[in-house]
Amino acid sequence: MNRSSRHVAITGLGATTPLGGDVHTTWQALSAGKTGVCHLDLSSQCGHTLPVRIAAPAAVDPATQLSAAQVNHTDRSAQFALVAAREAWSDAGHPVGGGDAVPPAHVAAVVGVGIGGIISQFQQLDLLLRQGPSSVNPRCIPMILPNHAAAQVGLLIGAQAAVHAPVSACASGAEAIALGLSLIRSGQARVVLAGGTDAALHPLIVAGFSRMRALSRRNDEPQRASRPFDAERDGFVLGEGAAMLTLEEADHARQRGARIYGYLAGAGISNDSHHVAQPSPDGAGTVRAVTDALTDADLDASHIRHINAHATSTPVGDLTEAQALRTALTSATDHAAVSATKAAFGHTVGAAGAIEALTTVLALFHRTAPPTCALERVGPGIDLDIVGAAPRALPPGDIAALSTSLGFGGHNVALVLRSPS
Amino acid sequence: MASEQSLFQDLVVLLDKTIEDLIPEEVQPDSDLKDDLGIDSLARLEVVAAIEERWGIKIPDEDADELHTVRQTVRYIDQAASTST
Repeated sequence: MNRSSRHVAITGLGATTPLGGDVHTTWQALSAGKTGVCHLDLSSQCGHTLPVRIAAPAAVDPATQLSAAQVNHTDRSAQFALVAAREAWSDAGHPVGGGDAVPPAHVAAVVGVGIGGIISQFQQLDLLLRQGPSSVNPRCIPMILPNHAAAQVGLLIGAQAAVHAPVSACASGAEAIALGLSLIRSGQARVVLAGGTDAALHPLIVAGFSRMRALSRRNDEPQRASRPFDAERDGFVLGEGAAMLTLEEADHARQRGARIYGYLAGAGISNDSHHVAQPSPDGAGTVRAVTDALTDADLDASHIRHINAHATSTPVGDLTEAQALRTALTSATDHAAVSATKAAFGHTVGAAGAIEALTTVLALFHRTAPPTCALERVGPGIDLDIVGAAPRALPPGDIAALSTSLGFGGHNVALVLRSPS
Repeated sequence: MASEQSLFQDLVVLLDKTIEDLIPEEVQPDSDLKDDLGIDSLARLEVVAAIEERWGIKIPDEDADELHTVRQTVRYIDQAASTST
């Protein structure tokens, strides 16, 4: 079977984000123009005043949604992934923790992280230094491996076809979804739970991003701090959370009468190979990822009526991305309503690509492009039709949307999603 | 010194917090940690660490290896805790 004959449907969604502990709450808050960014000072954890004292913490502590044993066995990043995975899996009508609606040999899990189990690393290091080696958790190693969240999700759903943990910084969540698409097209899996997670609200991470001058320092105005594409943007706001999508071979989904939110029509992955953190000035890598995704989806740019941009709110990154989108889509850019939802979620690192893909699916499903809540005045050089403080209706009919994700290391991932028929 | 019954109940609470998918109601004094409760080698290390922390005792590896049932574990804790206080 060639790849084009295996269409991939999205049959389940799960999320725990700075806006809510589930998909419904998250979407309601996002559509209402709320932000998850707030005052959060981690200085007391390091004994020094941090230059950035704002963040977008998850709305619901995942530890309150899992058993005590699960919490003891997992890093916070995996806890987010488990909460989102449980929701996405049951939302698709698959039983969690028992029953074989799909044979495990046809099930895969792909969960990307940008930073991974850093909170557990520091907790365990602290125990080692203070109390000695016998105090280190016997599960320390599985908890700090980059595949920790993926392995936990794989165990949750009994994924025997494959478990993968793509790591591509802030593009990890999107890359996981692209890999899920490949697994279904190749026939290796019929159902894939794919997404991303991260929990890195730690003083070292704040200090490290601060040293790169990557974070907004609008400490006194947290709700106006994350403002992608705005003329006054001054950096991103660190967030945390997870999102998961149940991807399913479309014929399989139809045969079992599953609800279909939309389709994952194509993906494009490229690398700038230019600089470890800066985007390539001409945005060529991003352009290539977008055009490859369109080709992969067998669509032309005119089908794209909505874009969820990576747009983190950094001065350089947003401008380069905006120009790359226009280069890739040419005049079709004029007909695409662009949302930059990091305004509300902050930058959730490895989860970002998955949260934004999920948001894009919901935008197509509800025919509503979500707001870019903190936008006041579009910055110079950004020639895009950006959805401002109020949501905007999307046209009826068969339309497509684009979600872009970029990461340190030059990673570019573009996903093309298509409305339900 | 705590009674064996209250130690048993405390241990069940500890096992419930430490072991995923454990059904506390199914834990009996003669339950085998591995065969009945599914406590594998990694989980056993966690249980031992949790017991050490909970009761402020030290369980040498060679002693831990000899604890096969809940009852044996309760008695070990009872002895070790009374010796250490």
